[in-house]
Amino acid sequence: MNDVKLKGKELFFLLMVAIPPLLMFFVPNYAAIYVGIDAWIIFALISVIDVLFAFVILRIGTLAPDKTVIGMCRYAFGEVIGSIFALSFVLLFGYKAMMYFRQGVEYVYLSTYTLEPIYYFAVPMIAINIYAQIKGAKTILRLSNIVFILIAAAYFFLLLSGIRNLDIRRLMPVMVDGPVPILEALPHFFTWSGNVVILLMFFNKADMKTGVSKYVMIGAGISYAIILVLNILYIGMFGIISGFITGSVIELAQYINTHVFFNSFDSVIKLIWILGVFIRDFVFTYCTIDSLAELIKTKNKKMLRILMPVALGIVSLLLFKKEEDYFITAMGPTSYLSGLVEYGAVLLLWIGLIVKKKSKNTQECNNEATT
Amino acid sequence: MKKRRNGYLIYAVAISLILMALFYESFQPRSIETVTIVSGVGLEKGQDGKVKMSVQVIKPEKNESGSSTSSCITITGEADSISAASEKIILKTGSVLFWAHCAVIILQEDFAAEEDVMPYLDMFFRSMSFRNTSSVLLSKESPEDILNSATVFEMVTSFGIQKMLDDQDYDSNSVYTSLKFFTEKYYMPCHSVVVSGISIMEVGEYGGGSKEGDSTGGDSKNESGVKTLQLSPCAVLERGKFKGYLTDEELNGYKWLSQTMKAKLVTIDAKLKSENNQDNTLGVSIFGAKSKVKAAYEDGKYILRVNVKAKAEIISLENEIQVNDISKEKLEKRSSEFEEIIENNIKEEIIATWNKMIETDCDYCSIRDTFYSKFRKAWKNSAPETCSEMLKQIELDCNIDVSIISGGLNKRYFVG
Repeated sequence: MNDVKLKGKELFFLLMVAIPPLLMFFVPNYAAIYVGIDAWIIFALISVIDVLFAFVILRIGTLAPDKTVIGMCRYAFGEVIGSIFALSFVLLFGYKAMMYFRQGVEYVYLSTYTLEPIYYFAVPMIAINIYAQIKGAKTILRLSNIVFILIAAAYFFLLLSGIRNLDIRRLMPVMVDGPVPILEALPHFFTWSGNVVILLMFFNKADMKTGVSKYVMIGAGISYAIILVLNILYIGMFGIISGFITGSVIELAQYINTHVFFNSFDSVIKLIWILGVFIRDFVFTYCTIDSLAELIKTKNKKMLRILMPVALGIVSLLLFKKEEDYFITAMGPTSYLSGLVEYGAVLLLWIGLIVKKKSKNTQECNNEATT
Repeated sequence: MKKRRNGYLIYAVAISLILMALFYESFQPRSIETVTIVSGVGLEKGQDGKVKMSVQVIKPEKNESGSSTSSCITITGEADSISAASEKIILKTGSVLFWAHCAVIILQEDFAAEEDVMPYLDMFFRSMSFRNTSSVLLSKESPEDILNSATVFEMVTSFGIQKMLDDQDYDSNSVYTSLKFFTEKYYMPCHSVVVSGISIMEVGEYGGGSKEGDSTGGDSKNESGVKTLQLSPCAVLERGKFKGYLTDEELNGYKWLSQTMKAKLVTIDAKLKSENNQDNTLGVSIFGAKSKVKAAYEDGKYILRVNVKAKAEIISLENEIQVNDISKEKLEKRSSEFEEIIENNIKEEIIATWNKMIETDCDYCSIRDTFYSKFRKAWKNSAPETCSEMLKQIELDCNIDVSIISGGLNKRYFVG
């Protein structure tokens, strides 16, 4: 079972299930608070940048196909510098896992109309996360295959609702204050962008020769297209009050067909979303655990697999007791640091691997010449 | 050995988590039966400047046959704020209010005339447990009385009101203003919104089947009337305050200018002489209607272009002689006359609304937003502050195209 390599299709499902939900809850609301009805432009920029980085990450994957990001760093920059460089990725995964877990818990909590205390949801979610971590990467990825159908249906219904209620006038006027406010706001959203970086932890488990590139690029393209379209529809539906809607894009579900046929249908969409939340939490926690285990060179990962979800869960609940605390942290300096790693460090790693490969080729040529 | 130890550890963690969940009081789930499900809410003036909140609560019951049914009761609470009033209601119900199924928010006219209602509605709007699809309505009567009245559609009054609003939607007899739409309009530069009116109508109660010795044949009515609800004229609110009611003509104009008119039954009086020179009344069914409002700037003047396209069918013509062998030319001439009358009628409706907006100084058709979307900062810097001044500066250019289809004329009949 463990020898079976992941297929491109599975990475496609992973991207489709894990990435779009992230940028549809809270985040469009935050974007609207920053730039009003031009919020969708932030998502357009993120989509372009992330699809380009999906390509960069694929190139990195083909340069060192048998390694995770930790191994790649050590291979490109040597043991000491490479380990320090790799630490930034471990911290990035840990930070993202923590933030996304908290977002997921808050979502589940709010979906049930806050009738129960938040710990009532957090504890089972941590327990399920521990179970998933023990089962390993392949189980998590195969779970995303199952959830994919449901989440695709959720995207479809949200699109349907958005198109049905779209009023293009709500998107007007576009960029009334020019592009500067949007560009200034963009770095505040790096906490939620650049998530294709998780692929660097899965390429070593994938069969890179069987069309992975094609599936990853299609997956990234479709995922970000969904994000962009749904965010345009969100602004096109809520307009000037988009910044008030905490549930953001998911709130579109309420308007699928009000009162007549699908009364309370939004509950079904929310339920599907929760399944997506689980997969996303599993994936980011897995990346944190595996990268940390490789960095500290421990072979006994079981303890980490039990303790890490608990630690991430507890820290996120203690740090962000209110949504305001979460907002300030997510949009603050840590967002800039996230961008620095998920874009800056990835680019450096790519350059490092290219240089390493070239120097290796030159060395091999020299060796051949001397022999 | 190590593997087994780790396995035990996992079980130990799982069991301790379950035990925590079982014994920790906060983890106890709250059953849905112990919450108070709110189906509708009403706000009105209370005593000493307080707000009186009435909530309609659903009572799940079982009828004689054992199947589930539901009835409703209305509970009120008075306080300075919505949350304080909610607390007072909770003291009466004994359980938390569950807002997710709240279908209507009814504002009392006097309350809305005196105070900006948005700070009260804001609590509902921002709450994740409240669906923003709930309709906002205005009533002259107390919302408590409204919620205690019956509707012909549903046992639960609020859901009945919601159905009435859904049913009128196609005929454009009223408006469905969701809480989301209300809030959006409140914060837009126009700051105005149109909401549906609701009022109580007293009707005689059906006395049941025929009784022995009943000479009326069973169609007797009880002396006591039944309070039922009807949609009344729509109202305009500006910056959350009640401004006035709209006539049917002004409502139609609003629908054309806000691009929401779909279909409508219209009766046009005395616009056309019949074939035997009597005053005629034209009954028209307008359908497939589409209106487009475009802002333009030409020769130093702002122009609002209203393009209307609609199909119409003549459904009744009083005082028209039934002529079976009417010639094709005559029929076409008559049709074009009717088209012109309908077009003029639509134009009059739009102008009536325009004048009403100037008169009340209230831009409830979002004209300011239309121009701002198109001309952005240039408009923002040059537009007058008051609505009436702004509207007076804009030239209204209506281009209406109505085409009569099918053999609606076959339904002509002669009266008298």
